[in-house]
Amino acid sequence: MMAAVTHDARSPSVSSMPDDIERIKQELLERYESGAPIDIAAWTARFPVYRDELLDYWIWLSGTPRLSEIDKAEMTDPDDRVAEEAIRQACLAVSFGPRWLDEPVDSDTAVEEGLGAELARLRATPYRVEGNASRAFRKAVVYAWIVKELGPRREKVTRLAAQKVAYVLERALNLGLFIEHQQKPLGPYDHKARYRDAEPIAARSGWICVKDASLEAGQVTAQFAHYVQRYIRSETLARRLVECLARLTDEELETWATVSWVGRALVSAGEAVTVDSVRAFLAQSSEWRAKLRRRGFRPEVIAATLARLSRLHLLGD
Amino acid sequence: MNVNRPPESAAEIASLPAPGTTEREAYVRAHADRFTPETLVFLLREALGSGNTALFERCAIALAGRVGPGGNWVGGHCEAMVWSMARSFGFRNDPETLQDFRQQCHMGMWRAIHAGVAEKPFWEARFGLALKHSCIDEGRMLVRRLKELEWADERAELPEDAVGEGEDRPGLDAQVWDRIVEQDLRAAVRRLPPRQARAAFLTWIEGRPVGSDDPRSVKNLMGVTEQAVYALLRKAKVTLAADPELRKYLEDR
Repeated sequence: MMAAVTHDARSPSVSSMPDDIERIKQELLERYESGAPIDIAAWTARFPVYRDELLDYWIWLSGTPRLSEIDKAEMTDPDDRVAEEAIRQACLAVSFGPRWLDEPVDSDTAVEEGLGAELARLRATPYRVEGNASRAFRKAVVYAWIVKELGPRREKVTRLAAQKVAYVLERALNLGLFIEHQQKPLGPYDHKARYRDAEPIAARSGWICVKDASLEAGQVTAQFAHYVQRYIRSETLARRLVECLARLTDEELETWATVSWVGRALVSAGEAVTVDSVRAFLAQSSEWRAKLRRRGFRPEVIAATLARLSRLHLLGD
Repeated sequence: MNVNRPPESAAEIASLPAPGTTEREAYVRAHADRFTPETLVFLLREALGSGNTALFERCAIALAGRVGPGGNWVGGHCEAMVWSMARSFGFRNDPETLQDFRQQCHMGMWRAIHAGVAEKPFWEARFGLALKHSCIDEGRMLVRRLKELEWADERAELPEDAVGEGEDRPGLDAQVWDRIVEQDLRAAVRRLPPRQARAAFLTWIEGRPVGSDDPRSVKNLMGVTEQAVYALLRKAKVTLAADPELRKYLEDR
């Protein structure tokens, strides 16, 4: 006797594996083409990590003609040269290599979009801290690592820069470390990191040297490198983000961290993150109202910051 | 690399003369227009591996089609799909967007073929689906690129009082709403900012309940509160009312 079929035709059957989203979407496409009913809720429930991507793909797939419905007689205008030109390029790529077919792109935009997507994927994966070290110690390690990474890329590493980069890094990687920032006049600020944990511990351990308001990298040992691997989730991604942040001035870092904070607050409240809503939020904050008179918080600067934070998936959308 | 080829393609490949022989190349040249697209992708990659540009071009023309002796477009396995998807996505109303989309679809296909079977086996297993999948990706990227600035501007331009309930909000009224052809609505929803698009699609096109505890409700599918869904829907209506492709419904009133 055959076993009862319990599989719901509207549900996915592929296994859930990291980086499998392309295969999952292909199965969704095949299921759609078969004409079987599809409940996208079953798919997002099965693959919650890819919820937004699956929903977005489904929005585009749903309602499209199936292969069997496509009018084969629908042909291009013979004067149209798109297909011919594409063939020509593909033939040239036989000699010149596949890079010949790469699109010329705005490198910064493409790099940020790619990094943003990878950060979002990393955040979506479960994270468990390795080892038994206290949060204070782990903060010190990551803080010192930030100083070490920023050092060669900036004339000097101010405390403000380290604080703001730590804040953005926390938003990007969900480290569970820099979570006590408060609204202070120069943006999100972690008082404890300055006086109680990250900075004092890193200085005592010799990982950083404090010179007034500037920080310099200290002695980096193999043990320190081992700690970093444990506490930073993905050193490669973190470094790529820090490389991006290192190009910003202190004033820009203040804008980024502040707008990121406001964006997060607006998203949590179910509100749109707009130039107007960011400025309205700032106007209502006694700590941050004065920023509205500053160059770094003009509407066009906030708009540009929102666009970049959005590309990096740091606005919660 | 073990590819699950369609039987017809597997048979075509099995019947080819031995690899690397002049007989094989002659046979391919003579029969390319009759091969399935999966077989053509296999042969294109083979020609790529041996650096045989002439044979690559012969198979490429068989795959994409060409202008025939009568001046009309003949053969190929791509154009009908690309045009059909362009229609579905609403790209055919704007010549520049249509041109960009077609170009991206073709180039996306060639990039995938050049990437090789290990990286992109689907193209040799289910060519039609792989091309459709690629068209969807290219359409999404195109809209994102075209709308990125507008989405940022749209955030700024959205009047916050539009979030409130009220008859005079600048959205689409019920009569206009009812007249919108579903295909136009789907295309317009795809042009919305992502979160508005999700809320609008699940609510207005799929007809899901917004706030129920059912796991299939919009709020649960999106992982947000009921209030957030309604806020997104209100903003989506405002955005849709400004969509050039939906204005015809407003002007017909």
